[in-house]
Amino acid sequence: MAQQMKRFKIPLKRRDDSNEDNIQHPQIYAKDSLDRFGDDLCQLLLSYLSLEDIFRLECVSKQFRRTVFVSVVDFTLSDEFIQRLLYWTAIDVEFTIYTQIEYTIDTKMLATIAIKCANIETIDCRGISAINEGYIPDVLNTFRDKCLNLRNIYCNLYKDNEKIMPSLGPLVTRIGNIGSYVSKQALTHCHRLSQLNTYCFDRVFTSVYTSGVPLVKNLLKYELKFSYHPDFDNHRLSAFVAHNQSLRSVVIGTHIDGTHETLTEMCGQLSRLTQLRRLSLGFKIKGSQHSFNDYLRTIGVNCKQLQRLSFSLFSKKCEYNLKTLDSLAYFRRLKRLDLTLYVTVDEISLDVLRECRRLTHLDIYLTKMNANVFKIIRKNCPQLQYLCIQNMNSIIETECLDQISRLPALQMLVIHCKRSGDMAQQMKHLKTSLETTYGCENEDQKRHQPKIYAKNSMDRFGDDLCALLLSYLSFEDRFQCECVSKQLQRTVFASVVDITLSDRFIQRLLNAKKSDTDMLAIIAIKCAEIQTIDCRGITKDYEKRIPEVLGILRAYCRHLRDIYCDLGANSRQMMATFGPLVTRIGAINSYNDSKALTHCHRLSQLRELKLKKLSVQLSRLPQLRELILSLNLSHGQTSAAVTDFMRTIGVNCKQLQRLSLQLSAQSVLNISLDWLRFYGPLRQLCLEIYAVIDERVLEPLRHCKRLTHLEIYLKKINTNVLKDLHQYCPRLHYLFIRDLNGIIDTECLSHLSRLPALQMLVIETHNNITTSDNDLNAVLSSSL
Amino acid sequence: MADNADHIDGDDNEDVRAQQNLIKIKLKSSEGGIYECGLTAAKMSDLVKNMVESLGTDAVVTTEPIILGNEAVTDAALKKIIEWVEFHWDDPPVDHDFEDEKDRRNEELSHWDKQFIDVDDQALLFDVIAAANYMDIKGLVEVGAKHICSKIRGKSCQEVREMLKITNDFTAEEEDAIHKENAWIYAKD
Repeated sequence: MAQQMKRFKIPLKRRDDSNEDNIQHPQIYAKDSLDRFGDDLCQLLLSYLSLEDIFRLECVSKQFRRTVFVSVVDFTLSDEFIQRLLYWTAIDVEFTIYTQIEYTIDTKMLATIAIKCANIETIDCRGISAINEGYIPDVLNTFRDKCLNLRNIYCNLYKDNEKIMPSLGPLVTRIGNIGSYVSKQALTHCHRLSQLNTYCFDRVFTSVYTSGVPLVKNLLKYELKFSYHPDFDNHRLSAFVAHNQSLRSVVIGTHIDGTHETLTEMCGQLSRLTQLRRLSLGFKIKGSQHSFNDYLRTIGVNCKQLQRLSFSLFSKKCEYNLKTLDSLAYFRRLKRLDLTLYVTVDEISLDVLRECRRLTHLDIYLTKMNANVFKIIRKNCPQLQYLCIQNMNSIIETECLDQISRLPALQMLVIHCKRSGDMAQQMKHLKTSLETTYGCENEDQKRHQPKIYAKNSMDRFGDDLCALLLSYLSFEDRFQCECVSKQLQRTVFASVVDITLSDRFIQRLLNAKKSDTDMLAIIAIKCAEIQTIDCRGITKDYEKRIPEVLGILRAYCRHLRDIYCDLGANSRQMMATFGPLVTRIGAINSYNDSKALTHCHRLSQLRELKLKKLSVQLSRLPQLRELILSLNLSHGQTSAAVTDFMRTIGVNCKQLQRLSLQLSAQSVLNISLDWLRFYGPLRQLCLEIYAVIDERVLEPLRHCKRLTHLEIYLKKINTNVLKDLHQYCPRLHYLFIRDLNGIIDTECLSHLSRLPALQMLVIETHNNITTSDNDLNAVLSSSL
Repeated sequence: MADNADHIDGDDNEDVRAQQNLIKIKLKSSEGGIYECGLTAAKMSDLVKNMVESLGTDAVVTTEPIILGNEAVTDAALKKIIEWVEFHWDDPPVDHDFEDEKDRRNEELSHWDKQFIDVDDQALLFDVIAAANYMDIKGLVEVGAKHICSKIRGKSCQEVREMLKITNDFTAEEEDAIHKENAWIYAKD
């Protein structure tokens, strides 16, 4: 304010002595003087000054004084800054001859600074060291009082400042670290927090031992600097992920050590963060039971937005079989890749980089590198701007540099090198070859002359059109046509996007002369575009082979996103690996382990579930759209159990649109559908109830205002049950009623005729309908 | 969104830009000098870009030159500006997903930019900056700003006044008062 007032004063004064001439004529400034610039431009130019310079130069001129502080929007506090504001006083220690020196912060000075920099929006005090932590509350309070634009505070959460969190917490958007003995409640005040760094994962939970709801929600960035133990932390990760779906950046700074199962689960959880742009991850791997390609694939398939990936692998065992990095193919949008492999293997194939054509930054550390690696990079990364090579064995030789020099877009090259050797000479070579990078690629293409094809030949079509035409072929036919021509070979499999596995298909593979896995691999390589595999129709005889088949298909089909399958005897094992890809489950054939379902967090369809006590598992499937359930209440259970069960699902599966429920209960007296109140978004409902019902059983339907399709199979239906249906479901346009007792009469139809949107009415009955045609006509005419 | 983006940021776009830069348009300084400049390069100036877009590319190419009426756009300044845009037009676009505004601001100037902006004639330097500001070439204004600030760094008020030819319009008392306010900056570390 003060500054603005001052500015206001100046013109006022001028007006008073306006008889002087100098105001009329615009002043003429020397061309080479900074005075010639107006305040706006001057302010822009000065915005690149450091904070210290800003204060030192304030008195250069009045213009400087006006403009130099305007651009101070971000304020980073340093130890030095605080030290400068301290003054000391000597205090006599009572009853002794000693005096003690006490440092206090000069709040007056601080207030002056804060008033001058009135535009401050952000204060960053994460860099303050422990000695000065104690002064931070005073500093922040002063700035908060003087800088009205203050919106963001970045700080650490230590013992010293937890007390100010109730008042300043709402301004805190980034936290650099959380100390050990801080009251966890302090975090709950920071409800705008978007970035958080911690040393341990348990810092974000109320207690070290329990899981429960995390203290932070809706984070954008999270960095875990020190430790993550899959055994202890996985169950917490699930809650953390659920509450922080907005996360865009996750950095885990250590090599995670765990069993295959725990690591698979961890990656499954991480893959639920669909907004993720940046991920940093490392594994410490002991044996060959680990398949890090699987871990990465899970993430790559689900986190489609991922653009920055840091991946490091640490393995002590030399014989670890690491040939390829195939899973990188799933990260098609990757722009920056940081790859560190502390693994001793003979050679790693980086061919997979051809799938990541958008790569602009590549940081690579391999224990053994050779010119071949660079050849692959050169071929596959046309957009590479930045290349950093951690070279410990000094293998960068002329040939490598030659390859690097042919990267067309390279702007920066960093080589970390232990031994300097004769790099200088090689670099000179690089320089010359860099200058001659242009235009040798196109010559091949120029040699091709356009060919003229007969009008009546299929050859005249281009590949695109050809693929489109062939896309109507059946799966078997495609293999027959493959050898028709080179063009057909190229195009015939391009449109195989969905594949349905059948008993016959598997049987054929078994009968083939070659071993079936080879055969399948060939098929998979040819149909590289497969996105969906449906193996729901496979019977028990061949069920055992499914995991094997899926494994091969997944290994070769990089676009695979959806698997539809049944849950069979070997479901547990299968779901652990394929779970994240499973989006539809047809039937649960034999109930082994309901936990298998939790792996399928993208599940959207589930049929024929004849299980109880599954609600908790089901409720973890927030993507569920369609659910078909069959519940059989035994003697001990009441309708309250059903209500609980259905409520848990309804509350959690918010996407559910189609529900089919078969409910049979011989001994229960009253079935209540009250739980329908949790199923607001429902569009289609099929109710099959074999139990005694009362007249008002359908009343809870009023909660499902969006219902368009309704099927009712009720044991004892009567006229009154349908009485108010038009009030409950105004949008209903399909109604199916199975009428076992022949009670559909004129009155009943007149109730139905009041449904405003009804388009189709189906009544299934065993008795002859006693109503006349007139009644039906009445229904039709009034509802149309 | 996902599907569209698959095609755009490829070589096509760059080719189009390169081809467009072969088209030359004319820019006229406030002193009357007419200079040719590649279309893509010229479009680094938001002012020119807007004019080209509202007039249509064909009109700009065939008819009168674009008049840059600001007095800062002298012949010499315009020549410098064209030199800069012709060098920088194929820079990769800023990737807003990662490029922190703050990081970019703190990044040092490239060698080429340093040599380009290190002009002995301060009048010309200021002309270039003022003209770039008028023509709305953000990158070039930034180069100028970084250059000036690097020269200011560590100098006393008086030195700065002398160097940038700034008139001191404070009275001695006012200046003293300010020095007192900022005493902390001169405190020992």
